Amino acid sequence: MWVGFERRDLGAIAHYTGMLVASMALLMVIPLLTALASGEWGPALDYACGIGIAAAFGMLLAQSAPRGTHLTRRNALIVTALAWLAASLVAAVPLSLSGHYGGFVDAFFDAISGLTTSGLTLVQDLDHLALAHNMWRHLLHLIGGQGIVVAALSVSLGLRGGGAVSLYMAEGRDERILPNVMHTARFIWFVTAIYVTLGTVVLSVSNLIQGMEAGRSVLHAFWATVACYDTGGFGPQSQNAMYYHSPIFEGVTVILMLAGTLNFNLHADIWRGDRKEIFKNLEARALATNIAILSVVIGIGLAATRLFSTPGEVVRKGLYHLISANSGTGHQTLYNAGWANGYGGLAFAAIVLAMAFGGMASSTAGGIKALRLGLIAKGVVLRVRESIAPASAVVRSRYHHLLDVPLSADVLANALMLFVLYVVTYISGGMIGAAYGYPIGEALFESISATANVGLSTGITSPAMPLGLKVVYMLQMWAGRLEFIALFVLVASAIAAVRAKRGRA
Amino acid sequence: MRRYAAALLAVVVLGFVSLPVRGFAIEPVTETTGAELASMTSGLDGQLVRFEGEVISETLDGGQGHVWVNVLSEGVAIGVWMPADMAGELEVFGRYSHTGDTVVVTGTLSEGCDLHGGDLDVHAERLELLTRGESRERPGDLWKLGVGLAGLAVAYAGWRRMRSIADGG
Repeated sequence: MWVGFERRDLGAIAHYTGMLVASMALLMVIPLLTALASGEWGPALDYACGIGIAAAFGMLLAQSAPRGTHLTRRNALIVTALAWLAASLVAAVPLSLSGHYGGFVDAFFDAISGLTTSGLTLVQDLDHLALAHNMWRHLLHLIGGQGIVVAALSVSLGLRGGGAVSLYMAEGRDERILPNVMHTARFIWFVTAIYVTLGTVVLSVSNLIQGMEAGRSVLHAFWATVACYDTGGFGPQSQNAMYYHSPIFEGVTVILMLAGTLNFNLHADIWRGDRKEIFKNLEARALATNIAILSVVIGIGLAATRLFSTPGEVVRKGLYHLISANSGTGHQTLYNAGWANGYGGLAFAAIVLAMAFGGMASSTAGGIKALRLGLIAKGVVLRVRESIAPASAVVRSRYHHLLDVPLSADVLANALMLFVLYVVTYISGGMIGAAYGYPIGEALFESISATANVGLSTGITSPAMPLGLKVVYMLQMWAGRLEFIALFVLVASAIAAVRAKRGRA
Repeated sequence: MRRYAAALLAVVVLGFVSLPVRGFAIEPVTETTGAELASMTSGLDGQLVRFEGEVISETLDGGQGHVWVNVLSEGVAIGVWMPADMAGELEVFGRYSHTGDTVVVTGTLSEGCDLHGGDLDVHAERLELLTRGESRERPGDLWKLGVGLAGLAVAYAGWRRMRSIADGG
């Protein structure tokens, strides 16, 4: 049954969306301080303007209902869907003012890409972009990776009370690590802070040894750490990871990408000292199997091109890109054009599959997710066992994901539904890209990269691509990050509201 | 006298023979761009290439007495590996505040360099400085500050209103 909106529903939705948007104004203080500290006066003004617009927009929306207003589950899903768009809109303001984007749409594209931790970019002349703008682009990864709601919850930004739990669940986080969502949000930030600190320290030292100035060493290290741990993929240089020419950089970032794709519940288990969980967990096993098989495929594919003379080169390039694709990061040490022209069909296919499959649930990774693939594989085995068992036999299957649980029809149906939604979106985006005249293989690669929030590109994503395709990729990044349901609830609610209005008329 | 002449001739001939082959070999140099080099369709793998571009950011240690200089050419940056003393004349590197030195690099392209883990790079043999880099004028627009302050005033008024409602005012 489609339930229409009452005025208080709209008020509550606007209020919480406004509070989340206002939190973006607070975050923009960091790039503002970066600009002031580095003498970038122009960008400082960009952020002064952005802060004012975000704060005003957010607080005006928040007037729609009093603080602590109750939020139903449906409305929480709508707030989440809208907040990611509204936050991207205000986040795009300073980027758009930087002069490094073809227009507001391109800046909006980068803001969505940043927040959804996709990493596809339309920035122009990245190598001359201000430190402040690079700080903002990477902060978007950091906030988006943890979740806008999680970010706001951790600082208790007007989200206490009835709305907090609903919003937390609506953001695509299906498990609570600790009994209280506020504590869970803070635990997520605690884990993130540890990885970000360690990564930044190690990469700073590596950058210093390579000859970077101290300030740039630390900034680059922080940005690379955030981009990898939050499985984002932005970089401060147009060459991305290639800029550093450093095996140490590649090694550290691979570890960060793997950490970023780990389910926060597994991080919690490791933190509590239960390291056995990672070996028993269906999702961890599924991801390890996925990476192992596709590593062999990409290795054979790259070796077959004879571009690389030694097995070491094949392993270094192959594994880096496979983990980058599987974790949904999108960092790269090969040029974009090579995926279409130089690295062979088998390596291309391995990267496409790795992007499509994605990392773990309740992590910063995107894609179908290893848990769902594991459940579907278990479901197939169960069906085969049922087929060969005597008619009177009752065949059951169990799996271990934090707990030992029976494989129920509901769980399997949910996994299959999301699998189908992802695949349909991958293919649809690919067909739209092909309709714009791009080769179908490259269009499919780009579509999967956008939907699974990866960021690897064959070169289609550029300021010169058609406006329609930019919009399609933005929708795909948004839908993929929210795993579709919040988006569908938003659309269905809008339809219900229109029907109700017609009914009254 | 003849002996001296013969010895001198021998020295000259030996000198020519022992000089690096590249110094005298007529090896074709292909004029290209960073975009073409990174396309993987240039067909120039292993060949001598020459391209023009802006040096960006900084030099990075490349080991074996070499450094990495990243050169931005037609929107695509290429890693160039060169002896540290070759990079000595570079002074200004491209970043937010500066346009870097413009150089012409002559070197060998590797689409999968064995020395550098399979990277696409150019091992430089010659570096010419075309123009010295300079600082970039980036004037700020004060109207942005005005918009920002106006927005903050609106936000503050909204926040006060919400607080007064919450306090039962």
